[in-house]
Amino acid sequence: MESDPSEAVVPDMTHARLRPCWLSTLEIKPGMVLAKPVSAVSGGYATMSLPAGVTIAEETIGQMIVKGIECVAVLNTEPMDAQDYAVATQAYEARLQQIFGPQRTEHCQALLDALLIRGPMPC
Amino acid sequence: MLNSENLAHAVAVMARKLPPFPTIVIQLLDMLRNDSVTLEVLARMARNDPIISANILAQANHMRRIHAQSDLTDAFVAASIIGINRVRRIVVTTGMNRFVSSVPGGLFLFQHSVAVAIAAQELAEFSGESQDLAYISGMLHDVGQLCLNMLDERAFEKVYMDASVDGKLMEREAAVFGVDHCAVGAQLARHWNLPEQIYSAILNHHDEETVTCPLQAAICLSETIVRALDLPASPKNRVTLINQHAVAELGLDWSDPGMADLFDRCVTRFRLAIQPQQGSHA
Repeated sequence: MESDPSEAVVPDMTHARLRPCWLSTLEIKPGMVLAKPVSAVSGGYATMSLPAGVTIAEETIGQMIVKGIECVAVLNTEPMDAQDYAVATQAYEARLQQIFGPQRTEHCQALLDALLIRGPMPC
Repeated sequence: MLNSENLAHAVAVMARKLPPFPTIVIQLLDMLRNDSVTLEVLARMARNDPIISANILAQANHMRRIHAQSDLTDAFVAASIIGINRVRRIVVTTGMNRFVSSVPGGLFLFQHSVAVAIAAQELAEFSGESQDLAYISGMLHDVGQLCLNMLDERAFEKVYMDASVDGKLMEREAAVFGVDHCAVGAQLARHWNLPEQIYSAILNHHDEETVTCPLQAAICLSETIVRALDLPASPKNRVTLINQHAVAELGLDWSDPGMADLFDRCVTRFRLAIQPQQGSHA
């Protein structure tokens, strides 16, 4: 089954622009605030569990790295200018239209819709 | 022209012309079968490889500089800072980079393989499968392209460009070379005695109709995800089909907010992973 590209979901720009920044644990700094919970499991046991809202301390960074946590979401404290993000979104959507092509299956349309709602990376 | 009858012999001959498959990756695969492997054992193994040691030091020092700390010079201390999981990824990624670096088009193949490896690992974590096996399979999934490239570089490039328009890569490869890169890559995996799951994942990673195992499902969908995310950026990236059986196998729902996080994590990790490595062209 093929979908009509004109039926594509209109992304919520504000939500996408203000969403958390994902950073490698090699790049995070003390004082950043977790935007999403962080947990690590080893041998079936939880070895780390940090809720959203926790301010990251120096020693926490080392613990996260050693426990194999690749990246974490931190609060987006310096959101991109709305106009700049709109321009980035326009380019992002145009590129997605190229990648998915004019005629797409229902399943491809579902993935495309999810990517349109997500928007470009805000950080 | 290759065919199912002569493929094993032809791949064995081609394998002799390829750069040697990194012994350290084979050792790592053996070690992954043993849960008791410690960071100390892995770091000692990596210490014997100057390029892997340099990359371990580079990652540790990258972090230390952000925190205004002095650089380390001891790879073992550096390994203990970045942890066993990152050391494993460095071993595999550096080994693969070395393997493909001498081949035309090797840079794109390497970066694409890194992207698929990261996405596969993220999907494996999402669905509770082995993250290490997923990462290694992702790094190796297109290794058959090395052989086709070696057979006829110009013909391979034309096949790839034409397929970026109509999405018929496998059919075009089979028409020109007799078999596609999945069959060649799987045979190469068998030649190297890699685990059966990796063989199956490589053989079926473009199969949009069936699922042979969760690992194959993860590699198949990782291929789709990295093309959708344009990782690495390329005019050849297209998404024309999605293996719905693989989506069901891994229990994915694209509209789940967790998938948006997964996409962001793939992009974040890929950007860091393709920063120039020591002793390589990536």
